[in-house]
Amino acid sequence: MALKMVKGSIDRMFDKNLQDLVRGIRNHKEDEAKYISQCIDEIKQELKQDNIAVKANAVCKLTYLQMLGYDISWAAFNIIEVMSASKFTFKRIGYLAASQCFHEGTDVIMLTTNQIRKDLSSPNQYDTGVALTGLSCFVTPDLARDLANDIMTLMSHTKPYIRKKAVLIMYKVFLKYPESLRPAFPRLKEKLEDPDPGVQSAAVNVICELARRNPKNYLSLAPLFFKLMTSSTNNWVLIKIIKLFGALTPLEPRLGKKLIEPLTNLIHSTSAMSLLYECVNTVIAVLISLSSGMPNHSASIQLCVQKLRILIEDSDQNLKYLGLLAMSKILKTHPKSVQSHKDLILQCLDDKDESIRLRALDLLYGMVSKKNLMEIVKKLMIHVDKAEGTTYRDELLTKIIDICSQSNYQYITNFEWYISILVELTRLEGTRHGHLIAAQMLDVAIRVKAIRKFAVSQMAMLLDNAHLIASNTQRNGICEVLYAAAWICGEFSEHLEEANQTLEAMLRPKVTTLPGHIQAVYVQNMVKLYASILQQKEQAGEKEAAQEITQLMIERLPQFVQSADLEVQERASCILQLIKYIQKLQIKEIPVAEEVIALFAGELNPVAPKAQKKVPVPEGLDLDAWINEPPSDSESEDEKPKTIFHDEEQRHSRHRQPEIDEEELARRREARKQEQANNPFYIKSSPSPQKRYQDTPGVEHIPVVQIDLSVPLKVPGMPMSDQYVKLEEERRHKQKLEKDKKKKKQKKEKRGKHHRHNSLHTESEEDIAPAHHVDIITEEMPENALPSDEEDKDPNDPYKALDIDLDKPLADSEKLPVQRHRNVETLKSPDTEAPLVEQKSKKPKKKEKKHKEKERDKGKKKEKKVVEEEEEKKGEDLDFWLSTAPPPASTAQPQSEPEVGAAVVAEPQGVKKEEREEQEEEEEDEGKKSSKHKKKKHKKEKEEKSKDKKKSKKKSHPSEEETTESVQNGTLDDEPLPPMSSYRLLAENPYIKTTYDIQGNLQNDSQVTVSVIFENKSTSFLKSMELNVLDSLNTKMLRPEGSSVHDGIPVPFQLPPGISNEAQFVFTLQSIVMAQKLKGTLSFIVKNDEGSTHEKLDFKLHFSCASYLITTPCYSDAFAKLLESGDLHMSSIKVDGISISFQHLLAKICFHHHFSVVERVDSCASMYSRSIQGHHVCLLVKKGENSVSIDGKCSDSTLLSNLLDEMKETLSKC
Amino acid sequence: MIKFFLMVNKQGQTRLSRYYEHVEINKRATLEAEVVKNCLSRSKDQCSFIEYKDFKLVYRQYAALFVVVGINETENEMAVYELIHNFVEVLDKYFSRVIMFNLDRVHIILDEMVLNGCIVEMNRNRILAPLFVLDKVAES
Repeated sequence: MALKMVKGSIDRMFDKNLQDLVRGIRNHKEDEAKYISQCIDEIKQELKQDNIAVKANAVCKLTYLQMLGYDISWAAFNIIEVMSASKFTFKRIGYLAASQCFHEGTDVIMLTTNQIRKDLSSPNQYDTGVALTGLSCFVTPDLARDLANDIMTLMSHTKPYIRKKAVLIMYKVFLKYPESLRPAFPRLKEKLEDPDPGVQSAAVNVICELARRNPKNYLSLAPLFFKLMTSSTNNWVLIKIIKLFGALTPLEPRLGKKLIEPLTNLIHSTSAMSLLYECVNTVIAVLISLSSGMPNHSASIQLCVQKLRILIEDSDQNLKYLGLLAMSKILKTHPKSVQSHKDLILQCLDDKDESIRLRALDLLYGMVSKKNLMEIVKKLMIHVDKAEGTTYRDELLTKIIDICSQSNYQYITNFEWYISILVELTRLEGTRHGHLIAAQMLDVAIRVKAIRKFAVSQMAMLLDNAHLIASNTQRNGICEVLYAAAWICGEFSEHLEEANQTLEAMLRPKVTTLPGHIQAVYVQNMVKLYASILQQKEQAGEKEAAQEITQLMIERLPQFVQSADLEVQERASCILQLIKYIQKLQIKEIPVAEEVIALFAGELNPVAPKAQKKVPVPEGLDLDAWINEPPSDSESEDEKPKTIFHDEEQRHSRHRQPEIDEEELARRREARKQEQANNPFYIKSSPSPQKRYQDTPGVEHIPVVQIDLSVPLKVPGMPMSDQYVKLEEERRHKQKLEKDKKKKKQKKEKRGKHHRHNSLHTESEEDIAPAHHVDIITEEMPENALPSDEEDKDPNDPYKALDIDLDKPLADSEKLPVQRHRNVETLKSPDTEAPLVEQKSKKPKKKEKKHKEKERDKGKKKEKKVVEEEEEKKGEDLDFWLSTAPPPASTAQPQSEPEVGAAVVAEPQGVKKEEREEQEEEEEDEGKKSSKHKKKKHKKEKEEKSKDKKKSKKKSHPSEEETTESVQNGTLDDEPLPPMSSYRLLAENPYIKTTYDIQGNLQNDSQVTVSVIFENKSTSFLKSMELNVLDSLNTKMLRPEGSSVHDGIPVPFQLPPGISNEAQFVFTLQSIVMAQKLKGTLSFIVKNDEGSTHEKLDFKLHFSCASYLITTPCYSDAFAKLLESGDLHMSSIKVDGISISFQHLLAKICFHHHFSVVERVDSCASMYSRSIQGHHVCLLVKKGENSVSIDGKCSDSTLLSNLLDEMKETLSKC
Repeated sequence: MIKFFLMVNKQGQTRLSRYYEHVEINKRATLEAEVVKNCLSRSKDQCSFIEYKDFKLVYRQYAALFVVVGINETENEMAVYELIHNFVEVLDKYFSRVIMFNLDRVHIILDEMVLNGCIVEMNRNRILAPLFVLDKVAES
């Protein structure tokens, strides 16, 4: 019986599926935890079974429990078991569980690599899909590295379902394994044009994410995205693309110009709010990037603001919120257009929704002006009173302070008003932001000298009413303001009218309940106060009063001496002794006031918060160097001497209050002040006030309104800022009248002067003169402070690793690791010159990372040049795209790969190019019929642009020279080298002159690139140029796919008169041991006023053997090994009648024949080069009196003799 | 990017959770609790976007169920708002009744729509295709 029961229960246990579990949990509401722990026990039992179905069921239940918050990491291995089930139904459960609970720290994850690889290559697309989905959640750097290649292959899978997922997962792979980005990028780019919209959208998603972090690397994709944007109808994709453009436009304002039109069209046409919102956002980004320079962008701004207004007025709260959010972005650059909607924004402050109110607050921040500041703050103060919930009230408080203090109190015209606002804010109970108010009080009182008297009187009132502020408990954040109040009263005690009363207020026993750091400031400042009273009394001759006050201090100070706070205690006992000493002197009737006051003499200047950081490190000081030898390792880690600064931090943090910095600062100020006062050599810098207000015309003539402060001051806690608003209005009115009067007067008096006051007709911002003559003292910075603002950068940004230049050609070393058998590698290179091979494979990496050995690697420089050129080419393409008018048609064309077609390459003459561009643009304008104004502006920008280009070209020129110069290899004779050009004449007729140069292709061992410069010599327009070559068996021109061998390749540009440009053509070769000549024709149409004629120019393209060589650096030891190996054929030549110097001779060989110098001793040099097919060529060049002999060694004898013949020809010309 | 996708009921019980950035299990519970608290505290006339810590919550309420999506600043709030509705419509189409018992299938749907924190698929038929295949396998 019992056995049966047990068996039954076991059966039931095995039967419990997810549904039962969910039901069970519902039915056990009271003892849920107990029920679940019981279930987990059951699951553990189930996991021990061999049956995969049972295991899968258990894992499925675990996934549910995990969701409820139970840790299931203990089952990680079981999850992997289920993942590797062959049936899809189980497998997906395993992957689901893994994706929910695996993460980088899961150690068993490394066991999954092979399983995942197997699933990725499964014939069932859903197997692959589920593996990809799972991988996206738990990919680790190791998995990313091992599987990158597999996933990359999947990006080209036949099923779009897989392609889509693979593309998306690549993003995670890039993040975890940044090295994979460059090799995978071309394919990713390809996917942007995938026939399947889902794949396309995935690729857009990934590139958007990448580009958002490092936009500059993706600028070259702009044309492609533009095409997508204008052709796509999928709103989801559009949103992403438009977002991407938002990230790109700040880098390329011209792009923005191109975008404005299609975006505004979209804004007009779309009904999808999400798309509309995105468009508006990007238009804003565009306008920010343009900010100036576009004449008609006010229309776009207006459109955006209008649309946003509609959103904000909508009854849908979501739209309202988004409208406000977007509005705040416009505000940053175009505050005027937003300010006109002030009514609407203020209305939003009354919204039921807190997030909307907060957004509206954000907007207000940017909308204030001198004119409306008081009004806005008044509204906000009303909201502060009404506000429920401390968070919102605190937010309001910080916003008020932010609004008023922004850009150095720019908008405050009346600081008395501001001080009273601050004082009013102290009535807020339970706010966390007392320290903010305190900081503002301090800042204003210190920096606005004119306000000190008023500030001191207000602060004295605060001190007097301290019991109100600090009434409830020490935790009340608002008591922080007492800190400021005490300091201000003490520091500027000369302005105090009833110092005695204030001193007494500070000595009240209640003060001892305040937080320690505030008491400390109290103690310090009561001495200042005491000193000034003492002086006052002594000067007035009231000796008794002076003694009384001393007595008072001596009576009251002991309460602070007993303080539990060390700081307070120390200061108090110190001061008590000082005062006792003073008393002794007083009894002896010795005047002491002068000496006491000297303790606190001297003016304090505010110091910029960043000042310390900006102090430049003096030359020769290494901050990282040890001052003393580091202690032995035996000491525990946190006691390393490195923590000198750390310690300080810790000391800070011991004080609980976050506003400790303030205190520290004030203390330091005091300390410094004392030091300065005692330092006769300290030159007190006269504060350089910003004389902003003095510039206002006629400010001296404005009578300053005398405000009777006595009434509001006596009534503590009453709002009085409102009175200022009224007063201010009156004042402004008066001022205006005054000005009008003056204006009239002046008009009568001097007619000629009236233009100066023209601006006064409108009531502009500047019109409002401040109530007081105010100096806002700028914060002090150390001398020769560094202007850098680098401190904002986060060095730990994970996306930094993805900041990779994607336009550079891929090096071999960067290829993704592919799994393969070991013996393949050993079979691969039976080369005898192992060290050399090794060295070569290392090279590309070195190029990127190490900048040492600069002198040696002339070859590297050349490579770099190639890279630079290619980069330039890309840039050029983009420029071309950005400068052409009809966007969609031209997007595809110039984008063709440079190797296949012929791409426009920068030609050496920048000036001519400029002309060409202008011409092009004129054509464009004819078609466009744009306004003259616009055209001009356009042109100007272009000119600038091409100037920039010129500059960059100038930069690249020296690199060419360097190439030749580096040949000297450290020799002492620095004779200037004659200019050399590798371009040879191809053919010439009255219309056109063509020169060419041939370069080996690094990436491909059977390709060379022929760069041809076409120069228009005639006064006609040359167009439809086409270059055709009669292929030989060995050498063929690379034509675009689909064209026959008889087709020519069109030259991708036209030539206006006098202009030259360069195009590149790629040729494939089989054997390179012999020089070759190809016959060819250039056909073109000459167009001038009389009409157009078809012309032809025949030429012979000479492929010298030297053109197959690539300058490759070689180290002497590798060179020696190479020579020793004995596999090389040898040959030599001798040329007589050489007159040029040896250095020039070497330079010539290097330049024209692509060699590099390995070593040079006196008039003997060894040189090395390598062909595109890997032949090593070694030379030994010796110079006699009048002759040169060259011994060559090469792995191919024919190549060598041909090379030497060519060299002989070159040298005989010398 | 989407950071997480949650379905929670009014009692604060999680009905579905999917994190696109790893969050530790114990932090998940507190996060979810706070998210629900935030959503519950809002009335119908408040907007569906909540600024929460360094990211934003976009939520929609369906009867007693909240769908809450956490997004970073680059995501389009409105698009996510529409995504939620689309998701619920797909669920509605596929499941006749209670979805709780088919958590794994809900996950499949979600994975088809959102992958890696990106919105990838909105076409209902394409979203459901793998599920139909699975159902066929299960039947046979």
